[in-house]
Amino acid sequence: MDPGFWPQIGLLTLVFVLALIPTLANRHMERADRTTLIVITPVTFVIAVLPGVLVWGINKDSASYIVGGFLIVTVAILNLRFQPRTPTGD
Amino acid sequence: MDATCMRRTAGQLISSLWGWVLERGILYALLETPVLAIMGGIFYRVVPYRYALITILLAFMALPFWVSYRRQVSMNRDEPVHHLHKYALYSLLPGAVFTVARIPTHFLWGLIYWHPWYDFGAELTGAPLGQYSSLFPGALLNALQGWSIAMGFYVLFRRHSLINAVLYIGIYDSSLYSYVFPTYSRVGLQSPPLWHAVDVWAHVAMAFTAWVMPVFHSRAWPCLAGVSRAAAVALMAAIVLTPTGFAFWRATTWQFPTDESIDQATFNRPGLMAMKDGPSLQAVDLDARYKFTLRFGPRGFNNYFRQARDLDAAPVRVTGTLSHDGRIIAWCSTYVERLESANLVIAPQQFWPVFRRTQFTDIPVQCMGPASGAADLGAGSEVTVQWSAQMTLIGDRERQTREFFGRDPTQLSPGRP
Repeated sequence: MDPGFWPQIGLLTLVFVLALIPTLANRHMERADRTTLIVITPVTFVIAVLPGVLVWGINKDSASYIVGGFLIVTVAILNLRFQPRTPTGD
Repeated sequence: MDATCMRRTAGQLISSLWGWVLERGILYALLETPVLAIMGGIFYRVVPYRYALITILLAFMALPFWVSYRRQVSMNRDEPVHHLHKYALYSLLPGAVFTVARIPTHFLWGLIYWHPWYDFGAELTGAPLGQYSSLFPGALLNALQGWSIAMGFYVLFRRHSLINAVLYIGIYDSSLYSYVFPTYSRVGLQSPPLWHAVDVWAHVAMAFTAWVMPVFHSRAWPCLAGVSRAAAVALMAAIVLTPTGFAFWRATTWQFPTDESIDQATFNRPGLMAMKDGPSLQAVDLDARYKFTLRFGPRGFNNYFRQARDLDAAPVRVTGTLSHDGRIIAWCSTYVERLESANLVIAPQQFWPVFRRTQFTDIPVQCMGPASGAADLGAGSEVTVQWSAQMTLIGDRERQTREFFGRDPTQLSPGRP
């Protein structure tokens, strides 16, 4: 495994999490937005990332996308489930 | 769930999906053609970039017709087509902030954001890399891509909240960027964790700006008037122009002089051309044929961008003589149009093996003389090789015509008789 794998994944995960902290102050998301995020992430993986993974295997760069995509889907699902209710009920 | 219920559910899903396609999907696809053209033309190389640009032209020709149609038939006031003019203005700033946020990293860690612009511009115009003629169109293409990404955010999402902006632009876009650039574009470059972290930082700054613009427009803009409004416009214009202005200024005052001095240092490396293998007798029939080998290198250097490059030479002309006991016994020459170069490799995965192989390049030189000259020669016979090599050295930015000379007393090596 590339020796830079875990430093890169670790630093990216940290930066992603730090970037999400301020969003707690403004995290209204509609059901359609959650669906958009949940759909666009794996679709992009299949079209843009998977061909490279099949040729070169998973490396630190493809893992970077996987980590980001996992975080997006997780946050989108949890946020919509636990966000404050708005007058529209979303 | 019975069959009727399943059919009803499937019908609702298809209806929702079709509604999404009409309200947002087609508009999103039309507006994302600049990004798709870059991905397909420069990164994945599905088609040459200048042909991929045709999709942008077609999309932007179709856009007004689609917008006009949807405005006529849409009863949903939240549909993006009704707000496209605002979104187009909002989208000017986020892409610029993406670049402005990276300017401090240039001074802190030597990161150079405008390097890919040369690739974009060169692919579009055919202009050489590292010149104003590729930098300017590259800057315009970069601005168009930033505008396109921001427009995608406003079109895709119903709620332009901070979390949606950070998830879409800050994390989705940046993680895709972190994959695509090192995998398909950064030839001869290392992509350390710091580079990736700066990428995320810049995308998050872009996301914040995309979130702020509608808030600014709805809450702050109405409160501005006269001088304050003009100042706000001037500030926004300055932000939009800063990425290109800074890149041009830095290219002129730092990049070009740095690259030129790197090239000169590389051209002046001691022992750049030397004899590797002494002459050997290859064959004797009507004439005697000999061969010796020159070695050119070390060729590797790092340019201003810390990108590994090969010092190229094209063409290479070598002439010389072989002498024995003060008599010339053979005349030598060779001509090489262009040396193998890692600089021509466009796939990052293929670059390093070629770069390692081309650190030193052997140039075989053929010599021919009368068969009588070889009559009393054998392995170990004292001969003198006198050679001169003329070539044009090609650095990252500069070229220089050079001539190398050598006079090497040596011994004839065993060869194919």
